[in-house]
Amino acid sequence: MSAIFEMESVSKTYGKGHVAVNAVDHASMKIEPGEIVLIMGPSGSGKTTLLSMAGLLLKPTEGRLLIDGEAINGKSESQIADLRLHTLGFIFQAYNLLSALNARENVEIVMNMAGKRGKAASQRATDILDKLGLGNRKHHLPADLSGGEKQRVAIARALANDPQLVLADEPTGNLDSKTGEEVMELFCHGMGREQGRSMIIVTHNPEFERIADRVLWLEDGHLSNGNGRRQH
Amino acid sequence: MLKLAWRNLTNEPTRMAISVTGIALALVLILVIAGIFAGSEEFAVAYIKNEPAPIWLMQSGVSNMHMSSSYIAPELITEAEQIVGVKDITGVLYSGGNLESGEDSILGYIIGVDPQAEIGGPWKLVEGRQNPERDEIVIDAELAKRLGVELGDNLSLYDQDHEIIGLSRGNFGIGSSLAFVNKQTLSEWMAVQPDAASFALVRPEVGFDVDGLAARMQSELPDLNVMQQAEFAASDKELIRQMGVDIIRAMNIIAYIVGLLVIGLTIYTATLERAREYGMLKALGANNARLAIVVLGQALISAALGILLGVGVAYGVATLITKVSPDMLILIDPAYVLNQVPIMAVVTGLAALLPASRIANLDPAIAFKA
Amino acid sequence: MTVPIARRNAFFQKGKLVLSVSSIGASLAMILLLMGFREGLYSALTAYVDNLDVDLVATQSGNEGVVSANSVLPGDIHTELEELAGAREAGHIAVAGVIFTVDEDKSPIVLVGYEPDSGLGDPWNLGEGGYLEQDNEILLDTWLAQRSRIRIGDTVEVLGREFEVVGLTRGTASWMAPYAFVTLPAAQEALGLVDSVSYHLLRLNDGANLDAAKEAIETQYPNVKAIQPDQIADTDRRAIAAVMDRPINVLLFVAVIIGVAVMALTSYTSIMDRLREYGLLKAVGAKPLRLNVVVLQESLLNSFLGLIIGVALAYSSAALIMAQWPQFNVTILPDSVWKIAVLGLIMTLLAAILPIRRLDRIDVLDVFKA
Repeated sequence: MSAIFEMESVSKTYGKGHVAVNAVDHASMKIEPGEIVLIMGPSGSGKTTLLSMAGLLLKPTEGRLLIDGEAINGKSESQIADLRLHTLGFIFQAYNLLSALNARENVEIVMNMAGKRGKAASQRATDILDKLGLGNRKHHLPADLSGGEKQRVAIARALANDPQLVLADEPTGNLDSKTGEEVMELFCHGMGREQGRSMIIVTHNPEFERIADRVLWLEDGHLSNGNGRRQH
Repeated sequence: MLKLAWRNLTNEPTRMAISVTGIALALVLILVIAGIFAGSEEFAVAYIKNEPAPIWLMQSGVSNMHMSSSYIAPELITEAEQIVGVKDITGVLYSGGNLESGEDSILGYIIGVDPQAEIGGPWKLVEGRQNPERDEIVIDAELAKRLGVELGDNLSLYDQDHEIIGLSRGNFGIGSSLAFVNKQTLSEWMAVQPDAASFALVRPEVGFDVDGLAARMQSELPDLNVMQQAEFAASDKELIRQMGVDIIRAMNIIAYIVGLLVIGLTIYTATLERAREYGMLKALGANNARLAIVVLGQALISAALGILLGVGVAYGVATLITKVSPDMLILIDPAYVLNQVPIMAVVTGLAALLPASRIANLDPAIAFKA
Repeated sequence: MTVPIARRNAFFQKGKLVLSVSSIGASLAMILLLMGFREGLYSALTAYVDNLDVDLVATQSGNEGVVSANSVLPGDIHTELEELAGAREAGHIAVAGVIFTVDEDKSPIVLVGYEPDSGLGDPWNLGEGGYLEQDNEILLDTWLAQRSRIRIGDTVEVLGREFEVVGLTRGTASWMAPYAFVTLPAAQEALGLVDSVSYHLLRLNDGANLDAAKEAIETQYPNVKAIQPDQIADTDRRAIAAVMDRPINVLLFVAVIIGVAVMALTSYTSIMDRLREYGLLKAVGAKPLRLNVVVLQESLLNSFLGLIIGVALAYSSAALIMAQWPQFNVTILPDSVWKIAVLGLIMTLLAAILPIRRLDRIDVLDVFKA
């Protein structure tokens, strides 16, 4: 089985000449199906930039990205957007739910965008929310949900289109420790890891190491294994 | 607090631009409609003001030229001429008519003048001559342009062709375009005697006191109304002003309502967006009055900018329109502009009420919400 | 069925929705009212002719309007005209524009002198009082009387002559020039029309050929035109339109721009409120077109609701205006509503340009902000 996601010597440079700054400097990684990979590091180390590139939201200055063996370089904006829609799932620290839509609709809308409509989409959204323990909250607006519930809706949304890779940015950053634990449990057992879904989690929270297969360390733009060895 | 108001506004420059534009345009409506009437007043009295006749005679009971009819019998003119102090009296006939050229037609006032008369005709001639004989006509140069005709061309008036023998200036205004024809011909048309008149222009002897002469003429000619030039012009201006008053008021009310809604919409949504910030300020101790000032400040700044822009645009529009369509003179009176300022201030204050009350009801704990 | 995100967004904040839709409604109502005012003005001006219950009107050639022209015809061709036309009834009227002054209030009116015996050309809607019997009597428009604080039994002065008010008419009000009625001899005397009238009115025998009658008259009298009342109305409308359309169009244009600005403001504000959410959608794979469609749908929804409110507001305002100020006839034609709907659609699309461009500039990476 080929890697679901590959980063080959990817860099992101801001500015030019002697004022150029490498937010990410020749980072490489490979994610196999079903893997949970943590990216940790001090603030300002470039984690968000790295995740943005991995999530096809930011174009690298150098290097190659491959999804399911296919290179991203040279693809059109439209094709990249499609990849994000069908292949990737996103979970953010600030949840980013649509305030005018209820929980179920927040999940349903990304399915609509991917071409799934009507009862099928609605039912699937309900099923995912049920599985995440939000069965009786699916008609509530985000304003009426707790932090933990909002993050679970976000997780449901990330899973809606059955992505191969889920990217999470500080998923427990805005939650209390107990709720954070619950969410972490979900990441471990409720995200379809057994079915081959992979995850990249950017986090400060050392508790995540318990559920991760690998820990990568990002410092000053340089990506290395958790034990400090640089990757080439 | 005002600094915060300014910052809040300028943080969204595009939105601020749109709302300032909306307010400006509401003001433009107000100024333009008033300006149209003011311009109309000017044009309407142009004839009276520009003819060198300090005293005017008209039918008793008539004190206007615009939209009026007047008849003076020839005997009365003869009588008037005998009065000591009168140098000469020039009678003109006055009627409405459609000036047509092909498909285009303009409604105007037709003045019948005696070709021998020294006054009563166009006071500024651009081309040709100004003493029309039978089947001849003098019209304004701009009107000629509008109708697509030139000196020497024919215009139809009362189904009769008239040759354009002269082009004048200052006789082309909305609702008060003037054309000059031969008095004899017009008298036939109006079925009155050629020596009759609608209005008579009186020139006093040199050195004679005009006030005294006017008074004397009035007492000796009870069947006529004797008016001095300025009085007559003022009367016509007043007529138009009165006609416009209601419309202007109606238009203004509508425009103010629109302005109020635009300001209200902007400030209200800006306030909603910053609910957390206001809540935070409240948590830090700012009282409702302080915060109301921020909201009011935003509203006032928007209104002030809107007024400045609106005045500028109104003058621009007025100039542009008068250039393109010289018969539509739009006169914007600075005093009138200044009068709008307090009204807009009140409107602005009203617009700030809803957002201000929303802030008053804000729970400071909102600042702590994730 | 997809999630109706545009609708959800639009209805999420009730206060903002109300303000937005009201603003759009108000600006659309303003446009409708302006159009209605124009239409009403023309209807009011031609009210007399529209209610003339005759088949043919003989008018001086070249003077084929009532409000816009001064037709003069000999009175004595009356009998011959009847014969030529095969008319069973004939009447004559004298019509002229004069200024009606009460104290300091001036109002242009259209004075109609008709023959009470024939009844042709009489007011079609007498609200109060009785019809004319004597030459020193007058019928005034109800609004004009109210405004001048005149009641039945009062004496008024027109063209220097005194008349007793014996009745008040309805349907004769106009901002520009309401109608007033006296007997034909009284009008002739006041206007200096010796043996002349303005128009001959003819009611033809049943089955009479209109065209034949016209030809007969016009052949016998080359300076007379025999036309139907609606042709006169047409002439009048065109004449007034040539004068009034330009200023009204200027106001309409400004009103439309205001509407676009209001719509742009609403749309833009909506986007700014949800910048992060649109960013999120972009991040999870929504293409620009899809987001533009969502924004456009929300704009169209707002505009549609605004249109409904605007139309309701326009009609109710019109009714209110006419009840309060009867001199303003505001006629909102169903045709105008369709025009506004189409116009509103175009305005919405135009207004969406700026907000959509703002969408394009969303920084997707904002989704990572805490």
